[in-house]
Amino acid sequence: MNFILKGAVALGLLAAPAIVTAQEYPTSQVTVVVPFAPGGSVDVMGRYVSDRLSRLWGQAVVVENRTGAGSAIGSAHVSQARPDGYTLLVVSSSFTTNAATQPSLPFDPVQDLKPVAVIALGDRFVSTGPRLNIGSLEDLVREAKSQKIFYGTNGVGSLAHMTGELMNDVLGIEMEAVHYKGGSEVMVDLGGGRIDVAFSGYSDLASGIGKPISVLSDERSSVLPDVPTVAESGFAEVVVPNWWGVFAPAGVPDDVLAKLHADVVQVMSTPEAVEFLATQAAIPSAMTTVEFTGYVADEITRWRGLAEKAGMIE
Amino acid sequence: LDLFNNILLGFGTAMTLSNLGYAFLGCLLGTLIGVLPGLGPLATISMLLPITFGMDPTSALIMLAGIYYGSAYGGSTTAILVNLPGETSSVVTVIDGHEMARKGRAGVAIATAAIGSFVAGTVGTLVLAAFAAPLASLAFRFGAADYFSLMVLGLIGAVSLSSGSIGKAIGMILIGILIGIVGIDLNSGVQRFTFGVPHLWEGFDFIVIAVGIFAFGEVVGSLDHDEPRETYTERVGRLMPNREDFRRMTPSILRGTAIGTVLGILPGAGLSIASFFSYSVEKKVSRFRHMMGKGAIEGVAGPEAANNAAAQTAFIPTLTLGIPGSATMALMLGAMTMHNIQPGPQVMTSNPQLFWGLIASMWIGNLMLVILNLPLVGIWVKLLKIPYGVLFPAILLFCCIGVFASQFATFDIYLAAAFGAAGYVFRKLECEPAPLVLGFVMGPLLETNFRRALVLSEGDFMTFLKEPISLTFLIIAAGMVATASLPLIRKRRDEVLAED
Repeated sequence: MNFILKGAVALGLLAAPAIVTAQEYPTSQVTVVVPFAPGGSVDVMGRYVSDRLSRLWGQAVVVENRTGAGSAIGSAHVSQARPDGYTLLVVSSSFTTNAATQPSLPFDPVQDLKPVAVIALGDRFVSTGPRLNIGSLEDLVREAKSQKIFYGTNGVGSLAHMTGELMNDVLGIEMEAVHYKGGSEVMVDLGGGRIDVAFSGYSDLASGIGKPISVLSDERSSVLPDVPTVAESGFAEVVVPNWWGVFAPAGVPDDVLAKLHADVVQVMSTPEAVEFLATQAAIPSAMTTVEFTGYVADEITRWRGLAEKAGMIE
Repeated sequence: LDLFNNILLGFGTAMTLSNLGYAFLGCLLGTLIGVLPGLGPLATISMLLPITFGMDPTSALIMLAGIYYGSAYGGSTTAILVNLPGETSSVVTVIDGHEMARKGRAGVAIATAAIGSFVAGTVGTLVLAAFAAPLASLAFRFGAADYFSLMVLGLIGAVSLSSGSIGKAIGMILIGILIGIVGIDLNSGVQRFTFGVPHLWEGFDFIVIAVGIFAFGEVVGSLDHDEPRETYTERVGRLMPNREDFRRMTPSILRGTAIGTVLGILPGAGLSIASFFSYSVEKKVSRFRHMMGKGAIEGVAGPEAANNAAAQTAFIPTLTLGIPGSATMALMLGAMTMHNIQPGPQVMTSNPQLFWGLIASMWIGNLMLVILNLPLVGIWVKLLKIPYGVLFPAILLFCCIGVFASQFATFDIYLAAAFGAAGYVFRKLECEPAPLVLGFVMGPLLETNFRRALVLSEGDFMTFLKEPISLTFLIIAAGMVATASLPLIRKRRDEVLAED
């Protein structure tokens, strides 16, 4: 009798996660997958939000760096995880450029993963190297018409590559892409005067390498308020901010999604978080889950169109 | 005088009880992961990073840095004792270090590695303290053409890593380059030899190759012949180097230190390339070059000094420019960002305690490592007496954990096993693996820099001769080829004359 009772209790425990409600989520450890190597901006954001969520929930939130294949390995891993909110993914805007340009991704970036909440929006800058002594986007257009201009990218189809091709398209110039393994390699050659233009976040500019001439956002950046926006120069179409966001496997229950969204927004908008984000030239975002999902889908469409036009994909 | 005050400030920060403790903890952990094959500083630091959030940022960085250079110390121990490079930077230490162990000089070899590392670490730290800011600009001077020519020089030098047939060494380098080509091509985005497997998009992980070819290959290889290890484990001679050893190691350590100091600053080079270059240089200029590959102390002293000097000076671009030269350095930068410290040239002025405290702690850490390692030599050497039946399964287990931990992928363990099979075949064919590893490291750098240089020069091949740094490397490389082939030509002429 006792044996049967124990069995029934055990069965009940096994069945418990299936009837979890939003009030109870999370009842155990949550895993946050960062599909990039430790130390990068996605990792920094992912660890920050994980740490704060862990404090809020009183549950362990473990960051796993599942690197490989750009960010495809980690993303595919989460897309196949149980859609219960206990396995999450943190990615940045490169998620949309990869989705647009990488053939044969091991998951469907639109169908298999659900955008949940924006962790932060980051400013990105157009900066120029010492060989070009210019101060504005208008100067860049003029220079690019009289001489060969090289810009650095973090690889074919990266956000920097897309930004460069978008600028070529909108500004009517022909800068040539030079591909590097990462943002810091780009900054070394920018500082050495071997390339002329870089598109990067604030962290790459903090070293003083490169002169920021324009910010790729709708509004001026709080860290560099003297740098005009692309729109001020008349090129509003080249607004390409960076974002970091939390994704979940498709099929996560709505109540878990709602709680996750509310909690991410809450921990990222505390004064302490805003101060932390400011050092990264980033701000919190109140974008809803529906808005974020639409934004991600629009970005993928936008990059796919550009990639086809620029001949990056067949 | 400013420097003096700064160093005082640094020691003041580093000498607090808790920071000394963190430095020690970091060095100890670093030594341990260095000794364990497969588990590298990158995986360890990324696992420990979250723990440091609650710590004072200076203490956190002191500990993480300790892990980083501590692993460069520990890696040599496994290389010498069991013929497995514990770290990628100790691949060349295997060559002469393990030969020394076979001759009963394991203790001397480990002690030499520790002393060489300490001298190099001290010099590297001093350079970092005194010249960090002016030297940082060196990183900007090196462009794609220069890196290409540096790699040409390195690959020509790589032939010297083999003590056997030159033909086989060249063959192994080429195989290494081919293995390095696997993955998405940086310039076109096209996948090469990936067979649709996403895990191969970024190519093979260094740890997979090193563990497979060295560790697995070694274990399998030793099973099929029972040349009993007792033949050399029984006659473990003196543990400490004697006067003659010191006389021979000194010039090698100094040369290794110089090479490592310079290559460490370059973001495109790094620890393993520093130790490869040092070995090639020893093989060319050492008075005892004829003994290299047969257990020469120079083959341990030079590369070990080089990789540790590079480990210290790699902090120069990281701390002063915010430019990480390697994945591990990127992690250190990430740690600073997590603690709300913006990396870059302003760190020196905005967080002087952190900057100088870290530098001072690096010297203290190096001292701790010597104190830690020298008495341990006797214990390490005793590891040789562990029977195969216990040691090898343990090595295989640690290797699998290390390979798995680097990317959380079981696929990598299968890959390592496949490379193990290849490693076994290479042993049977008497092809040495070190040139292959070098080809694997330098091949992709050679290609990307070659193509990048041509993009930047708009297809002008003369760019390699127009850039002064590049030209210098190419001239040295041509000189090496000429001096190596002269005796061959002369010999052939003699043969022709003899036939007449």
